[in-house]
This record gives sequence, C-alpha cells and structure tokens, in this order.
Amino acid sequence: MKIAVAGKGGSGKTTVSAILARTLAADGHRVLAVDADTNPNLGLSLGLGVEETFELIAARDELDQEDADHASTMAEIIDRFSREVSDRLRLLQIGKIERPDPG
Amino acid sequence: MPGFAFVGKGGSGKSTIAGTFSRLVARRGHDVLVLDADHVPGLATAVGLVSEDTAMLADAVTVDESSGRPMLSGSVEDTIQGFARDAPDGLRFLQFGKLTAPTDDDVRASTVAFRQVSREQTRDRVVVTDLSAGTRQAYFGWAGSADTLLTVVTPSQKAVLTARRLVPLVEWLTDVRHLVVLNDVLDDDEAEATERILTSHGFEVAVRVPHDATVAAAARAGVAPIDHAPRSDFVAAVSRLVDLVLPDPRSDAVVA
Repeated sequence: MKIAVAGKGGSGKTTVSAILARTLAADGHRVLAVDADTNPNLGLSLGLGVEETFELIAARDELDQEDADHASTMAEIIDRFSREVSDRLRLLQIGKIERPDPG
Repeated sequence: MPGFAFVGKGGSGKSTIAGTFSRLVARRGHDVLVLDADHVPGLATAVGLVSEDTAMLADAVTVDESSGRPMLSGSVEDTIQGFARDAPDGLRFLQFGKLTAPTDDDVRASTVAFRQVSREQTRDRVVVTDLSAGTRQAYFGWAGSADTLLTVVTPSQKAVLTARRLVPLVEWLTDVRHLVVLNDVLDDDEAEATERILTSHGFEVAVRVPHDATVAAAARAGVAPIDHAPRSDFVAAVSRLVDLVLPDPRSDAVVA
C-alpha cells in the first residue's frame, strides 16, 4: 500500500502523515515514511528531536553523485539512508534543499 | 528601488503578510509591483484581489532563434503591462501562474519569464516577491531582485527549523539584508523563547506580529486583512515592519 499526502502548506500534511505512519506501524504493518519535501519536517512530527531532524542526510545529494553503473537499488537506498524510528517504522528523507544553486 | 522577498515555512503567514505589506507600501506613495511566485493561492486574496487563474506567463515567451533559449518575446515593461493585474492602492500584481495541467515546457517558459521580469524591471518601483513555501525557490534564485529577505517564522519548531535551513542562503547572499518576522505570537513568553533561539542562530527579529483572530476571519471571508479589519493589531504590526524597512515615504504620498 502506498499513501501520498499532499496539500497547501500549513494545512497539516506533515502532522497527518506522521500520525498515519505511527498508527499503521502500531497496527503491525511495516512502514516506510518518506519525506519528499525540500524543507523536510516529518522527523519532528514522528518524535525525533529538532537537532536530529536537522541533521538527517538527504538521499538526494548522495545519489546525485552516483553513476549508472553503481546506481543503488531501492533496498540499498532504504538501508543506507533511512533511519529507524521504531520497530516497524523507518524514515527516509529524500528531498532536502539546503545549498544555493547558482543557476 | 528596493526589492523585498518573503520566504518561510508553509502556513507561517508569509503570503498574508506579504500582501498586507504591499498594500501598506503603496499607501506610502510608492509604485509597487507584486510578484507571486507561489503555485499555491493566497497572495491574491491578501492583496485584495479575487483569486483567479490567470494566463501562464509561458505565453509571453518565445525561443530565440540564434541561441535556442527561451526568453521574453517583448520587453519586460510590455510583459508587465500585458500580464499583470491591477490591484487596490495601485498595485500591479503578476502571477507566475497557477499550475493546473501544465507541460514541462510551460513551466520552464513561465519560469524564464518570471525571473527575467524579476531581475530586469527598471522602473521606479518597489518590488515585493512572495516565494512558495519552504526552501526550494529561495535556493533556486527566485528572490533575485530582492535586497531585503524577510523570513516569516511562527513560534513552532518546524518554522524555526525552516529558518535555519535558510542560513546558508543568507550567508551566500552577502548584499542582501535579512530580517525575521515573528508571526502569530500568542504571548511575550513564547515570543522571547522563540527569539532567543533565532538570535542564537544569527537571525535578527524585526517585528513581532501578534496572533489576531481577524486574520482567520478575513481568510474565511475571502477578503484581505487590510480591508476586513484595517485597524487590527495585525495590520498595525505589518505597518511597523514597513516603517522599519522603508522609512522614507514618497514626498507626495497620501498616508492612509
């Protein structure tokens, strides 16, 4: 099952996503919470601290530097970049933008 | 002439403040061009317009034959004339264009047009740009015309974290003044606690905007806060921000 959460900024997307993720995990499902926001705050809503959320590495930058011959599989990406939140819940942050693009 | 760009987390009140700010600057006698870079509606209402989907700026763009690159087919002024809407207090309002079912080419062309207008407009105007929520547009050069970057922050962890993510941008834009607008403040304790955190990260808080029920009421009515409750605490606080960043009204201004 894949659930995508979208909506206007400030409408509660991140909060709703976190509640969904934790509820589904508590119900026994294995859950991958993916934060695709360029300004990612899902970690906070999942209960990680401010500094930890701030320090999470975005898969995006690392993967941009890979070439086709060494491209990671999905399992490898999840393994390398996601962070365990609880038994059945992992968080993968993929979209963070935090450097100027001169273009 | 000064350019202001508003950034910040979604839901922080960025567009509401940017719109109110624009109306107040116009009332100080300036010509104001408002650039709406946000794909999400909000600024039009805050400025006093009924939000409507306008033609995408993509229509103003052709591909230059020699270079093969997209560029405005007319002058920047012609583009503003042709695509900007008139708003209250003499504002000119130019939208990037709300995305319904655009093609990649539409988006690319609109982006080129918007950024060319933003960077090359030469008339004696104050330019106010409202960027889309978050960090993406700020980092991709959408605030090109600004000499003052205003980050709107509410007293919440997420909003402060968003501001922190803009620190590298602020450090990179060495000619740009950076100020924080602390919005939706419930009480002094909350404001002081948030300001301490912001100051520890090198931010300067220019003004505190109080929580004001008339703002939500205006939003529900689909009316600009400055029209719905002109003497509210919210409008008074944004007015203080204008006085701070633009201290000299035009000599022929009629100050409302």
